[in-house]
Amino acid sequence: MKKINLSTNNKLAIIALISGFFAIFFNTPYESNKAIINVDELALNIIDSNNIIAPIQLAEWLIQGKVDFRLIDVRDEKQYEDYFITGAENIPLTKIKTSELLRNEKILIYSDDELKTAQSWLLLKTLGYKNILMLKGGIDNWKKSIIFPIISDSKNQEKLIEISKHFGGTPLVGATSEIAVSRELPKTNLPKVQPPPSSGEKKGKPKREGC
Amino acid sequence: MMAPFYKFDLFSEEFSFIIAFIIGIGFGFFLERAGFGSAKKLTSQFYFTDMAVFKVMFTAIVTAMIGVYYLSLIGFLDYNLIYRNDTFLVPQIVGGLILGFGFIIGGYCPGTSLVAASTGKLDAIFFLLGVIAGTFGLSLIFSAIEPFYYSTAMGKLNLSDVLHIPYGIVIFFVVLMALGGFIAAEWVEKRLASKNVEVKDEKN
Repeated sequence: MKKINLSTNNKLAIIALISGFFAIFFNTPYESNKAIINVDELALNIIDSNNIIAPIQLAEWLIQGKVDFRLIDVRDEKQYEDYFITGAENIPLTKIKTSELLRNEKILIYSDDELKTAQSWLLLKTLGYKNILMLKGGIDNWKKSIIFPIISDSKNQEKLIEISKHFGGTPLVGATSEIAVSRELPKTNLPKVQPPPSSGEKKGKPKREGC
Repeated sequence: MMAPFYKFDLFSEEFSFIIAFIIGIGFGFFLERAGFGSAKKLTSQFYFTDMAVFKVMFTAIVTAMIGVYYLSLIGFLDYNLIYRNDTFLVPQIVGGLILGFGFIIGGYCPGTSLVAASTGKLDAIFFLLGVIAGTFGLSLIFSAIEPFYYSTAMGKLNLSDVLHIPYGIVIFFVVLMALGGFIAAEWVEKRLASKNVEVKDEKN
């Protein structure tokens, strides 16, 4: 049998040709919708209730101008335009995969209600986001407890009234019947990247990468 | 999914600079060893007497393409997290032409000028001063050309999206293109080399 002498270049060319050829038969891996779950870690994360943030807590963070987290509204654009919590960015769930959120950022998410928020949290967890917090009860609970809080004893709850007013809410002082007061949501049609009330925030444009 | 490592939080931003430094040194070293620290070698690409630049570039493209494809396929790499530039078609063509002129006149591209300057080549050091002056100049007139700079924005483009063919087939054709290019390049090199020899012989 004749021995064929191949140079390194020839061998590399053949490897490239073979791997290129086999690529024809594989699916595109770039749009794969698979996620890998670390079951133990996820179970512990679910047990841990530290990742649930009450609306009042979030309200205080926003008033303090806390900037070590990103507030993300995962509802669709229309719902976001109607009303969003001051300072929230909109990344609908369907676009989360290609968003520029970093896996190690501290992210607080909310959706319509408790169930949807929790489901969204789980999705982000499976995508490998490490530090995801969720707003207890979603935006429904936010509206109920911050924007239209029912205040029975106005003396002891002055702080809550103040917080509510900060976010343009209407505290229902002494209201027994919820129907009595007209409920109009405060307008938050502010620029999308809106700095929190106090302290300067340095978010602005996403970091540029590459050469 | 594990990679890109930085975006999956395998190391901090500070540590990523150290890694970038090591990779950068390695990149520069191999460029130097491939002869890319020499303006003679680089410019001979434009006269088709030495196609090393073409071959190295296309090899890099094919290697990276196959690597990214198969690493994504086995679920190691999340392609969507790799940073890619947006396409601004017309400004990028104009920019490419300007860079090309600079390349022919100066004998280096920005990366290779750094490689050559680090080996102490005087022409490369002057080239680098030119790069810095040019960057500074651009920053001064930037506001005037900003509308043009961001014109014809097309977002992130892939060949597969533009041509509407599956990724795998694009990959196969790019590999074929590269191999065809290599064969053609070697043929051109041989032809021009023999011609140059003939010219020399006539003179003697």
